[in-house]
Amino acid sequence: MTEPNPIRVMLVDDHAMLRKGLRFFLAGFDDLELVGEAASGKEATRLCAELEPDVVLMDMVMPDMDGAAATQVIRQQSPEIQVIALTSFQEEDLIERALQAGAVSYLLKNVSAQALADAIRQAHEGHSTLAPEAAEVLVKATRQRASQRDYGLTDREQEVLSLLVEGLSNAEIAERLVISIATVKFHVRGILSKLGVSSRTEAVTQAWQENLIR
Amino acid sequence: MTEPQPEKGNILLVGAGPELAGDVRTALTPAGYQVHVAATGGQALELAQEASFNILLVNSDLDDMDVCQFCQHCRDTEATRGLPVMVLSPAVALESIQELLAAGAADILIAPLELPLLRARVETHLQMIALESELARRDALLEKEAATLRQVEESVRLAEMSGRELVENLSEVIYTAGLDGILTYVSPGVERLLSYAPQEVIGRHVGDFIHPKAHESLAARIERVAAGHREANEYRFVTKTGATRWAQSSSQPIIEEGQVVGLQGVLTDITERKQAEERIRQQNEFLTTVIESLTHPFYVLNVDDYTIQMANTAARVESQIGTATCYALTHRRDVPCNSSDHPCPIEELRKTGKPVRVEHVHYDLGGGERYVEVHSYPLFDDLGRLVRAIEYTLDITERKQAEELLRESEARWRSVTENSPDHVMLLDCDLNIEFVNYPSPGLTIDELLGTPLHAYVDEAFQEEVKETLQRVLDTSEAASYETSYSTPDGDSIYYESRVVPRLVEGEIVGLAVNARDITEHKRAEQALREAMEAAEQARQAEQERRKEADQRRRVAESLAGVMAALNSNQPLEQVLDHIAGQARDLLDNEEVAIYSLAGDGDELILQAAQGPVRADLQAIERACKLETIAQALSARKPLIINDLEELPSQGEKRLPQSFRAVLIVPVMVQNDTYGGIVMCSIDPRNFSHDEVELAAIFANQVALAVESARLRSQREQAAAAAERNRLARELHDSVTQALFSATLVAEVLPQVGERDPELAREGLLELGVLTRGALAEMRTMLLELRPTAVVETRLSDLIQQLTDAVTGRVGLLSSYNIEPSPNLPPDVHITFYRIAQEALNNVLKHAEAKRVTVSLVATPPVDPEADGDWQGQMMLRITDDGLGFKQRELGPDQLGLEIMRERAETIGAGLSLESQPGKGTRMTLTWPQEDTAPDE
Repeated sequence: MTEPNPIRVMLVDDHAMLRKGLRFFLAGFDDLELVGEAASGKEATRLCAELEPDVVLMDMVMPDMDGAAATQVIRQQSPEIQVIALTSFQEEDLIERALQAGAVSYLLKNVSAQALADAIRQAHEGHSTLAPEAAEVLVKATRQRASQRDYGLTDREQEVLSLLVEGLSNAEIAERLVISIATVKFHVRGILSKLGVSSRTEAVTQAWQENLIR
Repeated sequence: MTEPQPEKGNILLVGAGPELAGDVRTALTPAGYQVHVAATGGQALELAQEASFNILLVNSDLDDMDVCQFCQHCRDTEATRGLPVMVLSPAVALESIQELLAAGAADILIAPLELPLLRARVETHLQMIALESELARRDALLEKEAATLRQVEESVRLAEMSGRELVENLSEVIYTAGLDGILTYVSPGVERLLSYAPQEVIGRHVGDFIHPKAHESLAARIERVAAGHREANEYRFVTKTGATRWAQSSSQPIIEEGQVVGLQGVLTDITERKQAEERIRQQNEFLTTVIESLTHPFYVLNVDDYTIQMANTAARVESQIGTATCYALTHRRDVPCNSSDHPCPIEELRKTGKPVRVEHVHYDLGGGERYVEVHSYPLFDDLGRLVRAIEYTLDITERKQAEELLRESEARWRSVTENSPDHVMLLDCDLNIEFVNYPSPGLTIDELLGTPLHAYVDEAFQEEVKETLQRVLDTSEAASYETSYSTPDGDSIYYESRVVPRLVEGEIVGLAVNARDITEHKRAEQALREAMEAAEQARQAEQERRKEADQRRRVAESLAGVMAALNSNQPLEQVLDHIAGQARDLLDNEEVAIYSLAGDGDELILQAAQGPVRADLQAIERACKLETIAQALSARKPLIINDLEELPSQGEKRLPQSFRAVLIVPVMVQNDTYGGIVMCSIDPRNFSHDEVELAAIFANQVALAVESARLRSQREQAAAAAERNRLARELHDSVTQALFSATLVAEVLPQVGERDPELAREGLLELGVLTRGALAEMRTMLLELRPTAVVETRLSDLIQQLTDAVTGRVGLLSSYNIEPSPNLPPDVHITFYRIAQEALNNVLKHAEAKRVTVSLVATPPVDPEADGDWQGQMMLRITDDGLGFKQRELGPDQLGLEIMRERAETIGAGLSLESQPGKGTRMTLTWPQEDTAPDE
């Protein structure tokens, strides 16, 4: 028998077999109710708008729209929906992106059923649950960022720097940011001078080494 | 003592002692005799030569000779001959006295000497001598008178010679004849004249002896004489022997008592004269012929009055011979020529006495002027006086005119040559300069004249110039030559000279030389030559540069080719072969081999080679005293051997080498010695720095190729590994997911089982599928991690595995028909597996299928018992009921399908994909491919 107000859970994962397993898992808990399944980020955002679940179990790595982007959309659309990132990957940037996108919890696919059920409940309450591995990664990252130097780059300069790191030319950067090439050059000059380097290559190298990219 | 009396005579006392001498003096000196003393006979003789003595008194007891000898000597010696020699002797025998007398002594005084006797005797002898002299004188006188008498007698005798004798001895013949011409008397001289004796002639007519031709005139003459005239005529007589003699007869009548009774005359033999006259006449005739034959006027002149004594016809004197003077005839003058206008040849003869030659102006018959050359020869008489002048004249008018023309032309020519910028010279036949218009700098005309031209050119040319001039002289063929002349200032002037022969009436008289200053021209030539040389050098330098640039281009092209080869992903062996070929071409070697070091750097392994023969490395090592080439390479320096045969022998007999030059460069890859390039030439070389550098470049290329190959293989391996890792990761992921899913299910099963057993059972089933799937994927993962495991696993098992995995993943309903597979060739085996894998992946990812069917069928079926080779067809078919696709709209999977098709093609299998949108997909792989197309 189910509880009167079960937590409404939506599953988002491109692997059918995982969805099957999670489906079965949810069936094992009275206070958890499966309301929908999506196999892609896009589907997820649509279904969320439709079904308005309480908690979304979001796989991070999916073709088409990935988990982080979907999370962002869903969170923007419906801020009351809580998203739990459930993934195999524990890379720092994935974790950051997921959390920055608005996911409340980050769990790995080695979580026990009980822990998962708890996490769902906590998420519904608005409390975060981090997989221990994820927590470790975040701690390291934060520590690293603390030791990072602050070059006083403006937001625009930061943007331009990240595009430089991606290998874009001035023209491409101008197109991406919808500014003039002259302005791009102006920003690049500022970056070079603040970082204390004399070429784009050096700037990119330094950005990589000191993890200046956000 | 009484006053010495005038000398009566000199007495020489010979060999007397002082007593005797004193006695003699006592005896003679008062008498007026001078007594001289000589100690010996020899002295006496000597003294007698010097002084004149009248008497010699000789003591018979002479020291140095016998007294007889002395007497003989006195007789023999001229100074003492005739002088009386009185011998003072003791009493001697009569024979001795006779002997003395025979020897020439005049007297003998027997001792003791009576002084008065001595005196008397001396006086006597002297008197005798005086008498003898007187007698001789008288005799001479008498003789003279006798001679005179004889002469007179002779003259008388001669005078007394009768006219007859005179007549008889005269060479002329006197004759008388009667009026009838009969000769009555002929002198004996007739014999001399006519060889007749007088008696043969007397009584005959005179005409008998005269040449018949003269008979007529003879008679007339006789008559005339008879008429009382004297006649003198010349007659030709015939001698007894028949010879001709000429005689002049002058006859007169004999008149007796007023009547002419006969005639008498004298015949003088004038034969010689006549002959002489004849000779002279002949000579004159001959001479006249000779001088007549002269075409030139010929005269003989009398030097005293200038009259023409003789002249030939050419002289046109004729009637005036003997009267006309030379000057009147030829010069129309009244007086002889004088030196101011024409020198008179006779005057010249008179002055010099030698033949002369002068030029005159004569007038011919018409009064015209002729220039003549008068040759005059003197004729002297016996006393050496000049009596005649022999002259002949040559008309030189034409010659003079020609000379005048010549002078004019010479003057013209001179004005031309003097104004000519070229040097004009005339040379005589000895190559000496006769004329030069103006001299070269540093020379004067005067010093040039008469000297040889070739002496002035620079030494180097002298021989040539001299030869050329001589050759023109000899052959009369013009020639040209070039010379140089150094001025006193040290400048050089260059001339181009043309030499031509000077011919007068076909005879060569000298040379004419025209020398043109070509210094400027020569300088221009020199400048041009230099410019051309510079241009040539520049051209050669340009050629060199081109060659270099060419070489560089070839090297660059070669390098580009190698880079292209490197970039083209050709296998390393091909690239090394290419590099070896390039090295062989560009460095001109016969053999290039690339070796790699192996083992502990001791062994060389051939990697690539170009060329017909491999070099014997051991021989090279021995020749170079290397332990091994490998070690040399480890030294990281090139090994350059220009000529193997020049290396000092080690005492071993060296193997015959095909190659003589070797260049070995090490190949360094990542700071380690990879190996080396060995380049060999058949001929000895002289490897330049550039060539060694180029070889090093090739070594670099080899290093690049090796590195590149290594990187590529690393990359490939990395790519393969990455691919495998990706797959592994994917599988890992899916396995993880499956197991995660399984754990979730398993963890909630108890709770679910309590609540909903039916669901629980479903869950259990699901659990089974999940775990089996996970297992299958694990196996697949392991396969991926151990690629060789694919081949080791039966194909049917592999396909089964894949199918299970897929089923596990998606929960598709799958049915399969997987029959036992035979032993397939490994590439076929792997390909089937990979294609199945790819196809099932596609189904999983894109098909959105609910059902998939996999079948693996062997035709004929495989008998598991049989171990033999199976031959037949293998077919894999995978069908799904998913979305299907249109060929054109495949999108990202197109590459995967392409790879599938390539793989199928590679093994000769046929791959077909049938699909229609919304109607699912069916993939069929058959091997070997069926021959479906009849003609493709």
